[in-house]
Amino acid sequence: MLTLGIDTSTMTGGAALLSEHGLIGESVLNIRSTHSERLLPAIHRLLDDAEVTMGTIQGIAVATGPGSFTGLRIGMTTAKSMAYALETAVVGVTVLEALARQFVTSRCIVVPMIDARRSEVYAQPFYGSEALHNPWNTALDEVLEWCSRQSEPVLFCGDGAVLHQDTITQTVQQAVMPPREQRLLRSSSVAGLGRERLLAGLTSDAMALVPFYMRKSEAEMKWDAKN
Amino acid sequence: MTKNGLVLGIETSCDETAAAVVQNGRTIRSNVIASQVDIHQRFGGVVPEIASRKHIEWIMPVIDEALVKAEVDLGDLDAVAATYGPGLVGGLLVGLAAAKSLAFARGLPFVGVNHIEGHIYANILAHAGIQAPLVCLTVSGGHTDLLYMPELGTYDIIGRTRDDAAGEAFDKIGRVLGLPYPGGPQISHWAEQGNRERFLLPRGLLDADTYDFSFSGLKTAALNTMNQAKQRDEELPLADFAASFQWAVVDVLTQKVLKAALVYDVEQILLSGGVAANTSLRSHLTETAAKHGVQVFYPPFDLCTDNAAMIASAGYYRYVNGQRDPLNLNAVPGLRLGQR
Repeated sequence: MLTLGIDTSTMTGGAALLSEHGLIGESVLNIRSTHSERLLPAIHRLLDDAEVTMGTIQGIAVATGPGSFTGLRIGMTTAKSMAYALETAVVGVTVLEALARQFVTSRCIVVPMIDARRSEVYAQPFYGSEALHNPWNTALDEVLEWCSRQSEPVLFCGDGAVLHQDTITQTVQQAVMPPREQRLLRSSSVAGLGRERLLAGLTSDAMALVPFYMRKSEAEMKWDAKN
Repeated sequence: MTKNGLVLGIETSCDETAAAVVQNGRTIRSNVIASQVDIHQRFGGVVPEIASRKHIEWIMPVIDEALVKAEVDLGDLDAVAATYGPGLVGGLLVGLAAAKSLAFARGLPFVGVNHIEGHIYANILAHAGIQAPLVCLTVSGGHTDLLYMPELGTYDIIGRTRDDAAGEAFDKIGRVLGLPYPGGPQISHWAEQGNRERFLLPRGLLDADTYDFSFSGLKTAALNTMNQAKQRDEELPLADFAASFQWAVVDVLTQKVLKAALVYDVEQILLSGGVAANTSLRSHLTETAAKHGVQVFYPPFDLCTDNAAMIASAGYYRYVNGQRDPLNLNAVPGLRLGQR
């Protein structure tokens, strides 16, 4: 199953193409220009270079979040629209699951961590492909406290593990830090996990698929607090 | 040049998720609008993040309904068009990503449309007799532009406001008068019974050799008149004041537009934008232009609000004129007319 993977959850993002033989190609950029400007040109180049036409794509996988609300919507709208236009299957995978997959054989507790601003992070602990807890949206300190209590080594990844590297290594004794560039999400992980799900018959509804925001809008939070 | 003349338009610049199919720029095959008005009501205004979340929820069902209602398959389309500004960036990005992705996936041309330009095309959809060349006055709370359109799908800006937009001046004076927002319709309502000659207010740039507008002098003069009445402890005759203020705006807009129509030798004038709903402007301009054999068109009420049919129509004429936009076209929240 020729699968296109799309990720626009953080400043890092791009697209990857996977077949039954594994990775065909991948485009990842970690720059300030918006996903609105760079996602479709990246997909276009990727398909051209791989000599693959849009019509031969059989499945689309998209990172649902958590991450930048605006970024998530660009990738997801692209995935939904392409799935609709090509009448092909689409599946969402969370950014946390896809990141954990990159270290699935590490024999560590893997904690993908995405910057949520306001000194908060989105995070979730995994062991192998098993989630040990539901995703958190909480203060960095609380996540690190949980990590410190674990007896196994804890591997950190995601843009939160780049941003908060010093705090993490100072707080969590058994912290494992992969090389900086390895901590970021690869679109190929999104494509790989998505492809497995599609092959297992797990698809999302292109009409109804929405981002995994993990947080209400600020206006709703204020309204809830007042009422 | 065109296959079927069919264009899918997508509009998500504010709180309406809309998609439409229009044929040959003029015939509405479908016009679907999902409005979020109720959702934002409790917040007292459109909340951008909530609007964006609703747009991504509704965008595919709305597009699908537009195609189904038009009995059109994506493959029948000549092009896909979407608003890329001005508007709320989060919403714009959803419609834009959808349009670019649909077009790319099916190998169709993509055309980005300026929302303000889109509103002009509500006229084209409503009135079969409109033929270029024409002069168009587009005026709202955010802009005041006078355009010459040698043919549909293209325009030259021949004049624009140098300071406040006409609608902005209306709203400001309405606010100071203590009238409910938006001030335009309120002033218009009070003006109906008033004597427009009671207060002589300035007409900015009227005698200057330019099609540009200026409303800041009028605004200041109106505020001064109000302050003077207050200082003298006199009650301002609201109806007369509203009529005089409105007349100053309508007079200057009418004279400039008519001058442009005669100089550019066109037989038709189009009105668009929020201030185009002003009945005094509509009737005065229509009567004055008729004396010179020039026809005035303005959009019907149901096409005045945000919709995607006008985007599809504008997109069609841009497409026919050869415009194609690249996959990296970004949303431009502060997009002005004449800007790419």
